[in-house]
Amino acid sequence: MRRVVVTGLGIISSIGWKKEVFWRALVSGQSGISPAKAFDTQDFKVHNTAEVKDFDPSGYLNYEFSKQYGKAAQFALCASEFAINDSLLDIKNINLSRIGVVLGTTMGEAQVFQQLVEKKIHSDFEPRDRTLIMQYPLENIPQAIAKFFHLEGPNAIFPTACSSGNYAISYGYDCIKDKRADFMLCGGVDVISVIAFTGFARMLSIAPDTCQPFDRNRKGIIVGEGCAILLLEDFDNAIKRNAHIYAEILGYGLSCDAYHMTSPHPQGYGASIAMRKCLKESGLNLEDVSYINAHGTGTQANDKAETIAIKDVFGSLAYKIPVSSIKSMLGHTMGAASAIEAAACCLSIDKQIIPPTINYQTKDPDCDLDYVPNQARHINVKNIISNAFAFGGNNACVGFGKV
Amino acid sequence: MDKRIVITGAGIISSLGKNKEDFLRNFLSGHLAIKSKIEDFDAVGILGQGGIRTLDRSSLLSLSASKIAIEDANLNIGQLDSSDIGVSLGTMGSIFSGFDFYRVKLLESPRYVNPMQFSNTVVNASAGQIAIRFGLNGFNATISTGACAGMDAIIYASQMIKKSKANIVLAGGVEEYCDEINSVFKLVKGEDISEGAAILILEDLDFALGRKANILAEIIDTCQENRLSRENLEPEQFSIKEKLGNLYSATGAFKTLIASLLIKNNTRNSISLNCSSCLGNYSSITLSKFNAE
Repeated sequence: MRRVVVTGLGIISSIGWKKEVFWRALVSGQSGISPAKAFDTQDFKVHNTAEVKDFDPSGYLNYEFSKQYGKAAQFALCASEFAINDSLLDIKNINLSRIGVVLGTTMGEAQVFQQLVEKKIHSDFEPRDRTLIMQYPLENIPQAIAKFFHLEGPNAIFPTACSSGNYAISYGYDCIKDKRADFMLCGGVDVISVIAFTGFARMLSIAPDTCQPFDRNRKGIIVGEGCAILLLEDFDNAIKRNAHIYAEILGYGLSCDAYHMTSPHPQGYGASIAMRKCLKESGLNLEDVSYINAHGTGTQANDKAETIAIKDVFGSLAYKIPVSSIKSMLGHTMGAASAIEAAACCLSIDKQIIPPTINYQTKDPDCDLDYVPNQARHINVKNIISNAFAFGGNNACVGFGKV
Repeated sequence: MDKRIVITGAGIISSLGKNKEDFLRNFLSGHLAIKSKIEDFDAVGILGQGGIRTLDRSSLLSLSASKIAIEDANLNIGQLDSSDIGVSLGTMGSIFSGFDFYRVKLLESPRYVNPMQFSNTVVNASAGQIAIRFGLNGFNATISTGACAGMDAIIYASQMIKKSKANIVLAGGVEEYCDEINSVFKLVKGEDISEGAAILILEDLDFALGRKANILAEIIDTCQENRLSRENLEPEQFSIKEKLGNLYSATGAFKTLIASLLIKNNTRNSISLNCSSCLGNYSSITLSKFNAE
């Protein structure tokens, strides 16, 4: 039976768009949240976002090629190039039909979609709109990566909202395990959009200032953007080519709350199912888990339900396992969230440091676990469960382990 | 030994017929689905009044097809472990919902945007609504691989059953008609988009035999590739476009559903189907008559 390991990381986020910068910012508790620059927020009561600053792909191989695509594909192309470079994989000497791409997203090319709506309001589409239209389909994003690197392995996109990054990683894991591919570029991407901002604002889910997961005074999410790509490969192959292994993917668990489109099950029913399935497939006992990377959005409902679910699964051990949410720094990057969190888990195992939950000030009686408040922590990181929950009640948890 | 995957139920919403028998008869007799939009689609008649007022058209179509498929498979979900029942759907999502949501924001104000409509703008709205409606706690996947999406959703479902991630999966595809997406299709592809939903019930053979399910067909082979070069492309097997129009994401699900009905009524013993997207995705499924041996 094949083992699946992560040997390359590419990250684009509001706290840095290179792995080293990202990690330094993450462990030093740096926030990527600031007033929105991508659009005017004067019609709204909330104004902060977590946007990728100073993104400049010029100087990278994909730069000229990426200009024909929307911003989400540009993020994904750049992060893929970073991941391949990071893995030191010489793709020119590999059978390219054995390298696949699978991504997750919530809104895809949302900025392209907005432009299409703006055009259609005033007139019908014209032949000159064809280029813009062709940027929109979701499948364009993983296909852009395939086309640039000439990859003919499995290619798909899972738009399963905010758990989609973990869905993509689980699919990539299965592709390698089942020998459908030898290498998989997996991850998630989303770009900031007026549509997402408007939707969350109308649901009164956006915090007025910052994101405070698990804090008693938490007021909601901050809409973010970003991308993370993980290069997955067969363990034996990684050893053979002397690759640096960040972590092993041990397994995953998927479930659905079947409760409400936008609210989590108040008792974390589906989240518990996903965590249990993940632990089982990962071959982990409860006491084997060193750290839980929480979904931790900063909404009252999510953080309470997630805490209940963790306690339901881990019992009294829940109080001994550190749990943190990096959304406190990155905001909620939607389809990219669990992919960026997966990259953070890999780096946590690699560096033996777990990132903090920043902006944590006041303990909530409903959220009474160890949330790694405000300071990163050096611990013995052996195994991690990374949670992702989403619209539609979609839950996806992935288990990572130290090799 | 590998698990065997069988199809035990089918639900279809199409302008070619309101139930699978009418649909197949019309399909075989050469009727054409000349309307892109299913004019006589009656969601209330199928689903009842409750809980459907705020749902988008994609969700209504896929919920209706799911209900018919569950009844066709004689599935009593209340007596099964709901965490072992998954959903796998190929779709572009409700494009109209996204257009309408943003149009209101632009032309009026964010204050006039209906927050209930926001969840309809995410591509996985239909899959989520299926789980909520029928109480399905297993995995809930949405796949968007263009014209391959419906077939890819069925292949994903069969892979998940083989890996014991579910015993039963509601798998298929849905596409909704709206003027906005139709104008895009006319410009890019020179044709109208057709709407419809096709949902199949996929099961592990042993599980199906255990509950004495009526087996329509067995999935004996699947294949997924990315054919960037576009050379040596195999011709489309089992084309349905002439009769049903361009169902885009739902195409592969409709093909699989029709093929399983043809096998069940002894018209064919086995059928190979394929789909390819203009970007490179290529998927195929081979179905055969179920043989207990």
